[in-house]
Amino acid sequence: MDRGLSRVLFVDLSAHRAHVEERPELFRARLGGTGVAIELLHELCPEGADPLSPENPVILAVGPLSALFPLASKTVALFKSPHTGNLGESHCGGRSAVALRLAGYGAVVITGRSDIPVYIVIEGGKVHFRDARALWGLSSSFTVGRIIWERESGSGFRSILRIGVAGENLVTYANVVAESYRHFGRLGLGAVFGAKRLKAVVIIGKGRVPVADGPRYSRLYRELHGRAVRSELFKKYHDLGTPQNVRPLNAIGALPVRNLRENRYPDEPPFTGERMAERYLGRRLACAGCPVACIHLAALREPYPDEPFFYKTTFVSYDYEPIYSLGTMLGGQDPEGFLKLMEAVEHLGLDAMSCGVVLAWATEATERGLISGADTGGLVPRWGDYGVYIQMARRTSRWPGGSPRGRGSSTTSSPGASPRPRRATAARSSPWRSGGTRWPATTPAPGPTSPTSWGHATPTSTRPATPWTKRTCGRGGSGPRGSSPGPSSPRRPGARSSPRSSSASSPGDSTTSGPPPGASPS
Amino acid sequence: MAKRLSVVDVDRCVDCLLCAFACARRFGEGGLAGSAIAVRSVGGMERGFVVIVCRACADPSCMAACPTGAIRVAEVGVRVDLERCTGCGKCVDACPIGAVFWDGERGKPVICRHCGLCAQFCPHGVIAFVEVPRG
Repeated sequence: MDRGLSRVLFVDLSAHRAHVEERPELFRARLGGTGVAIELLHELCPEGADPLSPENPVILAVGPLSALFPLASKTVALFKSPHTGNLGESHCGGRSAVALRLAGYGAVVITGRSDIPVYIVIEGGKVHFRDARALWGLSSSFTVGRIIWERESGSGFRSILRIGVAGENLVTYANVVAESYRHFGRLGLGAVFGAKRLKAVVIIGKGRVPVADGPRYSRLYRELHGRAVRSELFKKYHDLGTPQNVRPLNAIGALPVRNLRENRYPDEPPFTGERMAERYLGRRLACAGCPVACIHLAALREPYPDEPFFYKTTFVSYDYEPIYSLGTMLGGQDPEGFLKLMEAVEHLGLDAMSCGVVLAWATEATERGLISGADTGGLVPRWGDYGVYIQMARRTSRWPGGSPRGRGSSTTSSPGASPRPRRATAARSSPWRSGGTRWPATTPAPGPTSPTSWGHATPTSTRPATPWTKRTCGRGGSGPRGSSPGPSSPRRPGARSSPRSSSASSPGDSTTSGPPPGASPS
Repeated sequence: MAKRLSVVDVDRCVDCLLCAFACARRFGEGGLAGSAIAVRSVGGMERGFVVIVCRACADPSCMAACPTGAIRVAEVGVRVDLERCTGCGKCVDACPIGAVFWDGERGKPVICRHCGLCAQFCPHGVIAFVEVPRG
């Protein structure tokens, strides 16, 4: 096993520091990223931790096949889910796994809560903490990605994981978007990011992975690659993608329709893989290292209503799951309406599946008189009415009066103590939600605060960790509201010295150097 | 018959990076540090991609920029003499298409040798190993 895989990067958002621990025994004992991550979660997540508290760790991990063999393109995220109060496990492709491994890490552990919104850049053995206040509240996760795309280096060798406003506002099924079209979709990792005031994680990796027997590795790779590209199993994913399921599921009466009140469309649904491909398929994408290219993007061409012959064309990814949740579960008849809702969900950073199911529930609940316009801000959902669904998704992500955790109408004080508004359409009403999650009254609202400490940290390669050079501007230290570093990872070994201060003018410029991943251990 | 690598239809690219990983396997290693071909998006995945690789110039800017004569023209493309290379990086700056890559771990440039291995692994016909036109 190469040394890079056994390195775990710990990022403490409360202190704006990072360090590396060598855990070869962990990566030997546990096969794959999920095994490593569950062990780390077990070590680091205190029993009874609130999922949106600083102490809930986010663990991203890859395995020994990542960046080495075809198809091994997923990063696993483990965390305590704010949606269920239980284990949160979500897997994401894109370039995330390759970037993480080639950055020289097998896992990243993110703990704490930043005093102000930040995004972090993991690159060359360093962790940069960048001011993200100007990115907070941007209406589109695409815009966030594009700004970071422009501002940071490493294009072609990086992954940009970011949240939308849904994550900022702690919607319990907010997701984390990677590379525009891939996601840590399920179980609310976006809300955990939002609670940590973590807008994005950029991972830049272009290292090498040494192998014991190069020629044998090349032969094995060629064999596996050949099997993958010749397999009929993968052909489906490549050609029509998972929406190929829609037609047969409809035929056998196994398609979720209208909040599961029905199980098929009388005629062929408008969202079959065949029809979507014929009418809309405009581009295909792959995750790094995978020849299948199962990501299908619809080219959505929309006229602007205010000017004749003026159009915009956007690309919207579609799969079977969003088709059932945002399409058939909502009784949709209009593929363009579905695509517009899907696009809105991507921009907002909501999990498409949970969002669709919530909207479907709200529609049926409205029909049955269980909820009314008073619960939905005056919006009345009707099957297939995508204009209303888009507005509902937006309002869910930016709940009027504040976040679902009760920001209230005050914009000047820490509002965690205010009562939570009733949320009829959001996950709070989910019947499967466990009762175990506690909602402390002390959670500060994410949002702009005064300038405070800045810096970047250069992880050391061995434990115990050594001091970090930390630059400060403004007051430094703790922010004005509730930003003192919490018990972010009580069981973490290795005490760190207090940070040294050094002068600096702006966040982000790097003044220290340190051993890059793969450097010889000290 | 001399052949060179050619990007024949960049719009077919799906960003799988199989070309770049194949390039690194020339040296029997995984990862991207030793790769002489790269793919990056043009402003995000929604905007498509560019494939960056040496196009085997007849009069290479990288060679002209090299102060130690470590880069010389081969039958197709160039070769880097890593013994003579001092790692100054001028070749990287000189290439207008960015096709001189930098192995940060070794402090040396990486330039495509036009072996064609990457084209064998391109699943979608983006790149091809084509005969160099005579004359």
